Amino acid sequence: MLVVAWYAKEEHFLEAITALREIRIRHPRAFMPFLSERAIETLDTPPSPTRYWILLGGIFGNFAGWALTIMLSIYWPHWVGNKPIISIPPFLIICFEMMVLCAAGAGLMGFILHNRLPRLDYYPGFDDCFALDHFGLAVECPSSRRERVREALTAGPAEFIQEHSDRSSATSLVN
Amino acid sequence: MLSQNRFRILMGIAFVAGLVALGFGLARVSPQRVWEIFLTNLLFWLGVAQAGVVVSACLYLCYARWGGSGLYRLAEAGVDFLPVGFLLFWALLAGRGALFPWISHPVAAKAPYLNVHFLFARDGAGLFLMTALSYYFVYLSRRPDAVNWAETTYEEIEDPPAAVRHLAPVLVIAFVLIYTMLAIDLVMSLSPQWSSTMFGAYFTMGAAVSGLAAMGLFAACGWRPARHDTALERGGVLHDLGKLVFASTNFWTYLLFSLYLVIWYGDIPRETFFVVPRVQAWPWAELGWSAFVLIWGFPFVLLMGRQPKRSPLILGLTCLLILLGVWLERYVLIAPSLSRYAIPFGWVEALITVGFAGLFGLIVPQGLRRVPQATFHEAQ
Amino acid sequence: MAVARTQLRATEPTFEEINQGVLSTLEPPTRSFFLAAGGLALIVALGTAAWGYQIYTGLGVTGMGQPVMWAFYITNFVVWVGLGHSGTLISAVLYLFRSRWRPSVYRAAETMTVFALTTAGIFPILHLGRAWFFYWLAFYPNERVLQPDFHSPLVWDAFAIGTYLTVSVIFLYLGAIPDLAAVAAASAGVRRTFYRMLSLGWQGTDWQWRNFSAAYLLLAGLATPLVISVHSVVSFDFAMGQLPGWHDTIFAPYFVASAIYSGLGMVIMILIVIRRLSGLHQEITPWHFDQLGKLTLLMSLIISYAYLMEAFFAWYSMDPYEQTTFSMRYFGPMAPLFWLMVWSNSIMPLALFSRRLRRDLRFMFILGIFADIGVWCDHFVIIAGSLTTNFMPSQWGFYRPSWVEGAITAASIAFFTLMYIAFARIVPVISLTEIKQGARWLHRVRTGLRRGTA
Repeated sequence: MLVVAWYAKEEHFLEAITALREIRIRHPRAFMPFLSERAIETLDTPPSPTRYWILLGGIFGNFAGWALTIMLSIYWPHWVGNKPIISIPPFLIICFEMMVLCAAGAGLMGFILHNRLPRLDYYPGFDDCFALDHFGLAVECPSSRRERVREALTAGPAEFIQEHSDRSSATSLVN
Repeated sequence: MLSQNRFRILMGIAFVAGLVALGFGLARVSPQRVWEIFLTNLLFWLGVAQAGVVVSACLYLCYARWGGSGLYRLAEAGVDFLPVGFLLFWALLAGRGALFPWISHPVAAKAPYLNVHFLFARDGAGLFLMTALSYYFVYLSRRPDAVNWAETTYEEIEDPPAAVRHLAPVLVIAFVLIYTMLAIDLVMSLSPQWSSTMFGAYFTMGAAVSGLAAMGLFAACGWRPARHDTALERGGVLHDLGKLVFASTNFWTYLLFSLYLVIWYGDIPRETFFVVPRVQAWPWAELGWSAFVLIWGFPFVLLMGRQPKRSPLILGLTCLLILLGVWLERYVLIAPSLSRYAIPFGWVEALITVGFAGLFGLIVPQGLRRVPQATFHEAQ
Repeated sequence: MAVARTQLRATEPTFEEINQGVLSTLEPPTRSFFLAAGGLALIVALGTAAWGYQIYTGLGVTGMGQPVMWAFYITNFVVWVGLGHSGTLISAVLYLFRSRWRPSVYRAAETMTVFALTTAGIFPILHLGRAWFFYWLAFYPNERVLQPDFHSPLVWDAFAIGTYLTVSVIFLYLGAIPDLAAVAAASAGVRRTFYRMLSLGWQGTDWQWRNFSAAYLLLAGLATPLVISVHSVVSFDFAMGQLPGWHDTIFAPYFVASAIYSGLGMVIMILIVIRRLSGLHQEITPWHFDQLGKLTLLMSLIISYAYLMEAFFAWYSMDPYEQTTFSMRYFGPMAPLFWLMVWSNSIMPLALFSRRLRRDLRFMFILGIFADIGVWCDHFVIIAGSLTTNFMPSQWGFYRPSWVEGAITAASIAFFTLMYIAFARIVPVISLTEIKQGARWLHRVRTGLRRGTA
């Protein structure tokens, strides 16, 4: 069974999350129209692995920059202006730019992969208004817990609550 | 930790030792060596004290209330050293012959600018102006209206008191212009044939880095774990200070690199003669690179992550290394112009430096005592 | 009682009001839009025709020639790259500073960055003359065993601007994903499918927001050094040379400050126009222009410092070539442009010390125009002016632009404007999500403005 609640205000949404935690539902699916840092903290969402992508991308880009400049300068040793073939100050600039470029590209890739984007279907419980002006909580629970879950979801006054006997019918909310 | 009295006694001993070394050095060792190290220390410690006040002005301009009024007291702690620095500046008159090569070997074309009367008049006036402006600014900043503003939650949009708000930009602009002038007059003129449009900004930024590092060091020393009933919880103040220190060292490095790259690439002897001894040639190159590693290398590695910036041990240690680095950098900027082929550093120089540290240590703690205890309490 | 659209509302903005206000900017274009776009397209077409004429006849149709081989095109290139910098400053740097006034202005500024860089990228290719050989700058195996010279500032430029454009596009797109999803949710039919595709099916779950927050923060941290480094690298195109007037150690921060200054001037103008045409008076208030004005003033002061240093050291250096170049700059044929530049970049912005003037949108718009003209003159005086008086007096020569350069310059402005207004019809120029996130703060700004305390 899937129970979905709509909230007009962030405070009500946070109260409901806290109430769900009290009945040991720690990871409901939460939908937010904007980033609510308090909600993320309350939900105890694990840290994002995207930062590792950026770090590795940056390290790779830096090494790639040194490799590119040094190897191609040795390949075509163009002696200009009394600068050594392998000169650190000019190559430093290119390595820095490559580091930033590769870090940004890797970060974007990490973001897309970890969010499992592009997403063609909708998460169970998603509604258009969650992207616009409402917060949402979708909780999957057995029928026996239905009442307790409803009670927790209305702890922060929910504007609207809907129940679905199975997940697939919840996605048909979206037109 | 030392008690206040013992600390004061220790600083007093250091100061006296410095005085003795100064006298001995002038009489028995070498006036040039003494005045070199005197100038180095004067510019370094004055920079630390002055930059702190300027940082306070910048914080007001940014409407910063993330550290409460304690942050402003921390920044302004060195203000009482400024008149001392101003007085010490005039001591350079006694050493001018040993310091300034353009006195014994005048550069005719630059004589309208590089002459004793004009130089001391303008630098003296500049330091006087900075001292007066700083004192007035700190007076305004310590008034109850400014303190209340800084303690108000920063959710509200509210201007700082008008007087502070109007004086802050004047102070910052005066700092940049006057310290640029000091850089040209007291450092660049030691190699009178050399010039660089960036040097003033680079030197001033070095002072700003030292001021921020001093703030970070003081904050780390003042950090205490919070009791559970502490009303004022400033979690993250150390973190934010660490970010400022990190950013300032990187910006300093950017200015240094811009200056260096242009000179390196142009390879014009008129410019390179100043840089080569400090970066490439024996014996100063090692010290030059050491200063760079201390100011940029260590902070870049140590302060990159989140947790190290929140650790008083790591932040404090890094800030101490930065301060050492800036001192070394001042020394490397000044001394090679006068002692190209030897590093004139012995016990005289060491004690004079200790003497300046002692003087700073005698004066600044009274400013630090104004920092509310709870400012740097971190929640456990 | 109906409240005038421009009058600041007394109540805290609801999400519905914000949605309505911002999504109204995406309504189908009107006739005036098509007229404007048509006019701009015509100017672009004329510029393209001028380019075609240049390709057919040769670079000699421009006013460039010994000794002034770099003039309008390089000046335009540097100015367009510079215009992009304040966009990244506002979107990335102010994000790191947790600045509260950023949401209302950053998307418009970031968009300006991307299109300014795109416009800038045309000029090096155009300047080649034989533009079809542009790929020679890339590193690829070839039978002549030639590779780019990594010692050259022009190659650094290629990397820096390529990186900056890529990172700016990624940053702009990433930040817009939640907004595009919101637009999809408010749409139907083909429009809905289009926006869902653009937003990659974003649904705003807590995990998605967590990843978004981490990626966005770190990208902001990556974009911040680019604000400083890219225009420094562009300045190195000149500073690495030994030409008096070019070989200056202060060029890097000087160019960065002038870039941000010109960019802020353009952002101010764009925001005033957007505010007026789209009715976004509730979201973009005079208080926001006050903050932008302070940043502009700071950049102007840095530029003035650089002018002071250049003037002083031209004398102090005792270099006769340097002294000649600068006296020609101040009193020679370029003097009118020089003094216009001093007025626009140093003197007029001093008025920004006045809060009343910072909040006066007519003054700010005029300042924006002068800022962009001033910085263009600044770069032209440096680039072309220094070339006119090089080491050998026998080589001295003055430069006059031709109609080709004028047409292409006008076309670049039209091209930028056309891309911008087209983009503004597709993607909201104000961040819907961040405005909602900061709705309470916006309410405080409006309240403070109405009461006179902010």
